[in-house]
Amino acid sequence: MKYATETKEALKIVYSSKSYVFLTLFTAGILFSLNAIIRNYRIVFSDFSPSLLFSLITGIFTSFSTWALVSLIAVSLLAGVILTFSIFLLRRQIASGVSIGAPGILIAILSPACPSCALGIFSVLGLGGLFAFLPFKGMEVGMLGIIILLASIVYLSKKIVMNVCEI
Amino acid sequence: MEEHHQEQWRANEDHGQRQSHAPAARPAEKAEKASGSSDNFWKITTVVLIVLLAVAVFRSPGGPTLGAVGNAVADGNIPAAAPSPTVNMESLLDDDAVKGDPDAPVTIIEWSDFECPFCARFYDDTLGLIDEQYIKTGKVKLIYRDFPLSFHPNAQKAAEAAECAGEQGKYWEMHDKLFESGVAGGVSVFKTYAQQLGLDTGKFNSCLDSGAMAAEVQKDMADGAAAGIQGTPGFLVNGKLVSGAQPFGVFKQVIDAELK
Repeated sequence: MKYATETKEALKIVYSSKSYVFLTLFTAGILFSLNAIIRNYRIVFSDFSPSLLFSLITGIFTSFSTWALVSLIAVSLLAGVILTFSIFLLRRQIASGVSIGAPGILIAILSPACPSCALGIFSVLGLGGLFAFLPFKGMEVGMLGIIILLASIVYLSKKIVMNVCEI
Repeated sequence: MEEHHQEQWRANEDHGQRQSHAPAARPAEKAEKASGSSDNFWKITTVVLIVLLAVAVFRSPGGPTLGAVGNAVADGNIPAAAPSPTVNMESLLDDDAVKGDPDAPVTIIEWSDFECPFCARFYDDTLGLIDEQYIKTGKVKLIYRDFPLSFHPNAQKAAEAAECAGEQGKYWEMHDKLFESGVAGGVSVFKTYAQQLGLDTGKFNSCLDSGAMAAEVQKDMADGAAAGIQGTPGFLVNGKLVSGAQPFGVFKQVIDAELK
């Protein structure tokens, strides 16, 4: 209950600014599109055209199962929220005068979103076939990814609403 | 709102700094250390995953695929062979059924499974358009190769049924029948399909029951795995890998680029 309240509060704080809403939707859109084209990235490189990109993105609706589509939309939106929260925290840190280098900024942005990278790792490594052994043919991985991303949001929310010095 | 929180946060930071100078701040330092090690865990994990991702992308010529979320995922028993960046089409041309002009400038090899819903979707939505615009006009020939997945119980026998019909010159008729009428019911249903298509049922039944085409089907599958196919449907268009039941627009772009 405490976590839900903190997350709700953090969402209110961050999304009081419209630019953060836009950032979340933009990031989610990019992640969704990337997932649509990554399987066929070689034809994107060899035969690039805007209409090919568009066809591949619309192809997600014919080549993905309903569950995979729902899972991808959820993961994209949650990863968008995480990136937005990270940038919010980073801006707050910079505004406070705490110095931070470029590698620090990169890691600060990527670290909380890390679980979403892990989702694609299996297939990128050519281990997609391993999903055939799972009872739900890989649906479990999507669910696990959503849980990890939700946990990251809760973790970041705590940092956003923190108003006491923890001991 | 944001500024208010920033001020509050700054105040907390100052307060934290003052506390850290006090001798009684040991528990706070411990908590900070614990929080620091948690942050370090995320940082190290991120760096490791980014390195893994980069290595995988640049080392694997087959490149990224999303088997679990896209087309039907390939069986883990398939031999994992690393495909070359430019797939040699000649080595993949078996004695499989060819649709279209054998001298067509563009060759599409399709690896498919008669029980896979995405393969059926490709058959329903896309193949007809490719046939109409490219195969019948002599620009493209399509070669169908089998890729029956182990968790589809009727797929192997359905593939064999199509090969057995091919022995009597009716491969594509059986191919269409299997996609249009489905594979539920297995061998007995395939035998009725053979009857409906006017095949010599004695020959067909003996071919299907003896498993005469089983090795041919498995060879198709092994060739597909070697070419980088990780799920069905998977295609090579003049050596370019196209994964999943993509819409006609994707095939059109790739074929047109090859025809230029």
